[in-house]
Amino acid sequence: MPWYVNGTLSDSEKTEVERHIGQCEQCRAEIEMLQIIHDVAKQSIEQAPPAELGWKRLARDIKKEKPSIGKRAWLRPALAAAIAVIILQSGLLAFFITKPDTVQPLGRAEPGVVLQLRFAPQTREQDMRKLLQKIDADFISGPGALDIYRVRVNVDEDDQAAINKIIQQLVHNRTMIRHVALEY
Amino acid sequence: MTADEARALLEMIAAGNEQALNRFYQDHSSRVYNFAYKRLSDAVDAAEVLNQVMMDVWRNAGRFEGRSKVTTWLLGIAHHKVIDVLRKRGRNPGEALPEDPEDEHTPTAIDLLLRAQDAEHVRTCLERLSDNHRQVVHMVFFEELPYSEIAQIMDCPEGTVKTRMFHAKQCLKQCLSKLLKH
Repeated sequence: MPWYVNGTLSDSEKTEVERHIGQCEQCRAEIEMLQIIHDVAKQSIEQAPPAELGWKRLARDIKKEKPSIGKRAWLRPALAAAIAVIILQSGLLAFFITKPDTVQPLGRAEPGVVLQLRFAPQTREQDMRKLLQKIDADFISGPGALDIYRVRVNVDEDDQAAINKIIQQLVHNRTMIRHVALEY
Repeated sequence: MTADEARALLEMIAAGNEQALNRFYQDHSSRVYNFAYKRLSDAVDAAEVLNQVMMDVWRNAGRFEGRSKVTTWLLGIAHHKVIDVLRKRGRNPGEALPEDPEDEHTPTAIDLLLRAQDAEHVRTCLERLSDNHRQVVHMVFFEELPYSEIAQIMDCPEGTVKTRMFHAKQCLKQCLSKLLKH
């Protein structure tokens, strides 16, 4: 009956209630009482939120965040087309660098290599950061539409053995990692 | 703000548009703040929840899939932030399950109807409700939400929402009856 009073019942539910209250004096009184409660609740004085001050605090906190985490600006069709994405499911292997002469570099301005990672849904942010610390990596951006994060690993981009070792570490961390790919 | 406008704002926020977030904040801060305040009864905590909710919007706007209304999604986030605050206060949110109305005769609506017409009595009884009861009454009668949306926000079955509202109503009736005896 409260939802009859607040007007959100479906047509069939409303019909059922109206059929019943047509025959039940007690329920009609209940509806009237709920209507009074509804009217008083609607008139209740709203607390004023911290308007301008609240916004300034929020703006400040946003600036403290890493600039690109949570944003999807990187996901552009041209870049997506240049990225080799391999879906890592259980039983599949990750992609290793074996033929560097086939790689078309995108001309990275900063040292290191960029990996794309997708974490298991229940992975907490603090665990993600601990893992990155372990492999000496930092978030660049993410999550994107496919929940992919881009991370930069602080490793010599010509040191294939070191890169493969890091990818192996991630591949074997099946609890947290669902996808690993090297970005070219 | 229409539902389409809210969704469009979220897309702009997802692309990093701070002005869009500002607009979103202006349009929704009162609703989120009051939702939190009804449960927490504390301005500082309610402001903290509001800030955290908006930070979540900033980080996760791109994850809104449009399967629910923007306000339902937003109040759902607020609900979980409120639970976090209650946990930090040392209150087990499980204790916040609706108190059963006292085991005594609950007056009928007919008995109370005349007395309930005194708005002041109703207001007093609304304020005396437990946090959980006050929150569900707020969502039903102030926000005027259907029970399906309330269930999404509170992340519980629809039956639980109906039961909680039933208990809130019983507690209100008992409160009104006691007030008027004095």
